[in-house]
Amino acid sequence: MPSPFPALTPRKLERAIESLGYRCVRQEGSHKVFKAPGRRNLVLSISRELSANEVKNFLVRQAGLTLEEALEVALSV
Amino acid sequence: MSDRPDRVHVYVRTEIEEKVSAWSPQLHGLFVADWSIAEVGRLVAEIARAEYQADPDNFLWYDERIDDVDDYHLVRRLLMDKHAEDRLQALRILDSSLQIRRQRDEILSYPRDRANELVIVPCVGADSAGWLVEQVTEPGDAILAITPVTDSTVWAMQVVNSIELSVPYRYVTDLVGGPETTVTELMETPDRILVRG
Repeated sequence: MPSPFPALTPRKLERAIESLGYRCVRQEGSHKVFKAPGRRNLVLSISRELSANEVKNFLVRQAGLTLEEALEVALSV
Repeated sequence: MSDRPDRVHVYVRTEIEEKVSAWSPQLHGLFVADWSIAEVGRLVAEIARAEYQADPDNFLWYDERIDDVDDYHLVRRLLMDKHAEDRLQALRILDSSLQIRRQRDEILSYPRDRANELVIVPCVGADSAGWLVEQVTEPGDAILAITPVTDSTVWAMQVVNSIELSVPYRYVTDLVGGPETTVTELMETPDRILVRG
């Protein structure tokens, strides 16, 4: 069964997490650091489009969203 | 729970078209995606030093591969240590066991984790309960530890972060050997679910 999650470019992924209140506070070489009030910091180094499963994996396992929240955020951009 | 702080576990996942990504529950918020295992490993190490003041030489590195099964993913998570070949053999036997209807139904019936994945972790007898529970750091985390018992069958134990099931289970802290309890010893218990607690 196809994943309900979309593949996302790095720019679209950033827009997705910005919708959660994240802002890029720093860029160091290959990676960017994002912060949002009340949420864990995110450190991203993404050089290509993420697959649907990678989008889900990142949003659930590292951004700390539920599957439902992750899907809503991923589809919003 | 183990008395010592968790070691850093880094999961490096390869998908179709050689897309590689990595994350670690101990490196909070980190996500790396690139085109090769070597480049992803290099980036994780570089960022770990710069942002987490962590020494990648002490990390536990895993190779993850995923398969689609119905509406979820089956993930094979292989620790790349001195027992990697034995763990790979355990996965081969798992694949054989999945050809047997009863075993396939049993293994695929285990609950998926919070990302809707069934994560299989092949073990050797000397692996510890502490190592297993270090891989379930948050509510909703779950893995399925397996090790061969014959050429075509595997022993399996679910390892979860927390539990709301009315089935026999054991907290890792209640084990006689605590987190140092080995997989060989776990195989002798009647419990089929190990809880981090």
